[in-house]
Amino acid sequence: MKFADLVKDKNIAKGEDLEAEALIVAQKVLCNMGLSLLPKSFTDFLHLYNGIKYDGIYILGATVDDDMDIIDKNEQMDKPQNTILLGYNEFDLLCYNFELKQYQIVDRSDFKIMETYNEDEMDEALAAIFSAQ
Amino acid sequence: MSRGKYARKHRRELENRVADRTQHHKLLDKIFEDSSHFLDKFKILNIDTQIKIVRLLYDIVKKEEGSPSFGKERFYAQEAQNLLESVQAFAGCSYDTSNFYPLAKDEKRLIRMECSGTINRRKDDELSFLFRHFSKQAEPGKYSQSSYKLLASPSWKVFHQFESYRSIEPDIRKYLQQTGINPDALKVMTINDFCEIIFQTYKKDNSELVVNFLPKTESIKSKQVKAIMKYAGKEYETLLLKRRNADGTKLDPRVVKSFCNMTKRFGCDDVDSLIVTEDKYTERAINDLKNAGFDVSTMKVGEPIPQEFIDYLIDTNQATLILAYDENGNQLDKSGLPRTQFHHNHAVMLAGKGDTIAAVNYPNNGIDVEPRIHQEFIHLFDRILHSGDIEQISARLNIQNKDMRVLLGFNAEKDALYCDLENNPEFQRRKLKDLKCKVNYFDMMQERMQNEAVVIAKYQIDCPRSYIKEGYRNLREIKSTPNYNKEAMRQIEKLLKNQHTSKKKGKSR
Repeated sequence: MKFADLVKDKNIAKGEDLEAEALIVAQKVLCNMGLSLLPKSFTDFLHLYNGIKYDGIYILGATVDDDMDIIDKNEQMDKPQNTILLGYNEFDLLCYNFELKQYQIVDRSDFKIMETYNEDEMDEALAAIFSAQ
Repeated sequence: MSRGKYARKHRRELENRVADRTQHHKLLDKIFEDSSHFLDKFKILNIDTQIKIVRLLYDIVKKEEGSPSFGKERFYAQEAQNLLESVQAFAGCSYDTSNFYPLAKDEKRLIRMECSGTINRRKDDELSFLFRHFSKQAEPGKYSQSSYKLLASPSWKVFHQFESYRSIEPDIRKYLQQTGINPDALKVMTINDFCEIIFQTYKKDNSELVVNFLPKTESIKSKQVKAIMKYAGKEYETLLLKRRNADGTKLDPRVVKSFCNMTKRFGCDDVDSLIVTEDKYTERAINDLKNAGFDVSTMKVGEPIPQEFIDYLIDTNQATLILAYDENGNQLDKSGLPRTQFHHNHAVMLAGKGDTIAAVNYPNNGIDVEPRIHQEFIHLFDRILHSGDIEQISARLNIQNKDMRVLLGFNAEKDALYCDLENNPEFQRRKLKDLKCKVNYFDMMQERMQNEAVVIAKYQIDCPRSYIKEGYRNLREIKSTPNYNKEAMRQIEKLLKNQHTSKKKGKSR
């Protein structure tokens, strides 16, 4: 099952359709910030859902919506080193560790790594942040 | 949306973050020109502007922390810090860097799962080898349900501390009976193994990534919403009646009444799913009811619609028959209703210091907060402060009044609802029960390891190298903690040694 199937019946708010230019801007700024390019599995997902917000759960995208803007949130929120923030809920952050090339669910209060997922397990990582565990 | 809007939004970052200092300073001058009356002005602003100001002040303070400045900028930074503190106090919050108590990863996971009422599929490599071993040997229906004594399992005892997990025990036993896993497996199963059991118990099909193990109305947020309505329903209604819609008009009392009815009955505060109903019969409502086959002979225009009848129509999906309209025949505006998010006042990390870890999800630790205040104000101040090489200290903004249950704006007096959920018999009963079920996580993990030694010997199970390696690591960790069970650890050490030796012998042969 894909993560997209998990959210399709939910009353979610999503960002505007992804523009190629917006994705380039996001990638460029994230690199300027000393981070890295977004993983391919995640950019593929952004073409489907360019940011999601639902009941206190946020998945970020290259969107002008301040709540879901990946650049704004990576600037504003604390997160572990060598990671790009991709989403968050009340308890955890969803990060992409670009050194280890893996998705991580990280505890918001002490940055303890709760779960790790390979690049091809992005759906599981998104489901984990979406179910607030 | 016009093309290129995102690029325009981030023009500054793209140009290597060169700030427009003149414009920035103008805004700051305006804020600081009369900072003694800052709060008076702040109070009357709309929430968007208030959030912008908080963000601006925060950025100044953060910038100063990173690179201390001189002159006007330094003055701004000091002043910004004072103003931020005044906003925090205005919202009933204060910055807390003390009393943090770390929890084990497993404990955190259980708190999260209980809060959401959902559970994720576990990956195979997260399951213990003993659980996988016993799963392979399972014979469906071989054992009776009563053979599965969950409290014989040290890991389940960690779950058992929470009311929600206690409530699903019959379902778990039923599932275990169906699968026919050896009841001795319970003694050695890990927290992750039980997560997998819960997932399997409640999954509907094999493709699911997440399953609900609690009905939605039993989630922590729903329970809290219901508790607020039960103990402070009138006060909440009064608070809502003061709110305004997006166009500045006051919220219609019918909207508030319908919303309160929904939250009270279902513990649901999803504004989008709310159907606003009339509270008095109208000509249109009577006609619609008549057309739907209801006997309308006793219904009179202007007379109140009995609440039981409204609830019946809602429950039978016929509430649209009494849908409320304004004088122009339009549906009522519900934009002024709050869309709140659940906030844990004391973070997960703080749990464990008190009586039981289940307390993190108690209704008296939850606050329904306006989303922007939640994310862009309260969580803005979350910090991980590094002290020395290893030690980490967390800091966060905490609500000072333990009875605050709702915060819909920055004003802790006017925008908040207070309700003591702690001193009622229902809550006290639960707390007493939870306290009786309290266990120490590390004690339970030692007990589990001790059981492993017994079970491995009893069933003569050949352990993989990874288990021996992991076992030695756990042993070292436990031995470094005070008051560990020496006898138990000796047994485990003996088991690991035996397994290690037999592996070596096998290799040399």
